[in-house]
Amino acid sequence: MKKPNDVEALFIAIDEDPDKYQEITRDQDAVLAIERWPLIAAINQISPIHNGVAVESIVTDETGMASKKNHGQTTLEIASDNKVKTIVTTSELLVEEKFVGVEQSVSLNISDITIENSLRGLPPQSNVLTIDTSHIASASTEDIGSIFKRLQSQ
Amino acid sequence: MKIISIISANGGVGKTTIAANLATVFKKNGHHVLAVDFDPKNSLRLHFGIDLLHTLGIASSKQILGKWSQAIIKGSDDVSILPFGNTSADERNNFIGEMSNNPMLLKEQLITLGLPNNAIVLVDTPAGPSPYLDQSLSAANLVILANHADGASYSMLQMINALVEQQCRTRVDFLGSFYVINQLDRSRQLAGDIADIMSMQLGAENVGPIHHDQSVQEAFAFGTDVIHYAPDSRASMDFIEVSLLVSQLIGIRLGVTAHRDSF
Repeated sequence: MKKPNDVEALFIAIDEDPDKYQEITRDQDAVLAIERWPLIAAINQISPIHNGVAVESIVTDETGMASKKNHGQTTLEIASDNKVKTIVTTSELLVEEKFVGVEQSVSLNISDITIENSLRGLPPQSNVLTIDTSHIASASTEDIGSIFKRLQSQ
Repeated sequence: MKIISIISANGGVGKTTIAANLATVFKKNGHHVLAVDFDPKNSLRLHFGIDLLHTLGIASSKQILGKWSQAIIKGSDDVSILPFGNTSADERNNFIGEMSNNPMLLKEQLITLGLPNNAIVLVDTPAGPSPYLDQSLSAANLVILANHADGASYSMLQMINALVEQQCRTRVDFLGSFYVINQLDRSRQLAGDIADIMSMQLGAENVGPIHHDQSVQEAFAFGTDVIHYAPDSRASMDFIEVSLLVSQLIGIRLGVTAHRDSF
């Protein structure tokens, strides 16, 4: 869908980049639309859809507040069987063009996570697993299985 | 040569219809077009008025020395078609074996055809992960992801995006992805919502709707495409609009214009 030509022309006329134009109302409608359908909301809560790889991950810090990382070392994806699948990569391995995927290393029902976090009073964005990525970065030479066991025990 | 792979996670979302109509629009604008049926269903030819008894194709054992050029046939509007072939189970298994032995089989065979530099190749690919999808993505300069505006398509977007990412994004000759929402009916709440969500998340410029239009089904039953059957229909306008957006992504010019007031 193209931008309305008049808006594009207006941005050019005031010496602004037309790509900065944003359909605020439409985007607000889309956010409401996500919340209207539970499956769509669940998909977006775990891993928002992007044009390209889902590099934007939600990572919870030590205070329990969620933050987004554009090139995080942790990516969380939802699997088709309604389980949480965890995929961990490290920067070092990515440089070597290797991909380490650990499927089902941690497997929880989404509803379990939601309920648990609700009881703990955490914000909705923290309905993801908490992983301290500094441990992963420093453990790139460690056996991947033991990395997860260690992370899960923390 | 620009290779455009039309893919989807789910079946029945209209990949073949999209491939056929885009091929027609590009051809009518003077481009050299080859439409490749890389799907064992072998149905792309039906959009171009090719004889139902025509059996030769890329997976057919009747080919001499395995050269795909022998299987090219001209369809309506003089579009060049490369059918999959009316194949037996053994022929399909042999073809899968060929793909297993050579992950770049599709691209290498397309190169050997010696198409002009400005040729556009549209590859109709079976739904979901498969050796066919791997070959198609390995060859693609541009990927068109076909979807319905429903939960089934949306729930698989992440998976299909990840496959494109793994196989395409690191290549310097990869130009990007474009998302087609086929048979969009905004009178339904879910369909409108999914279209809005995809537009916001994937970038409005990367998403093109083909509105639900009975003319598309009628055209197929009539043995042609909707561009010919109902040139003034909503779907025809949509296909032209999508062709324009795709042409911008692959860096070619189309002589046609399309004006739509809304998504």
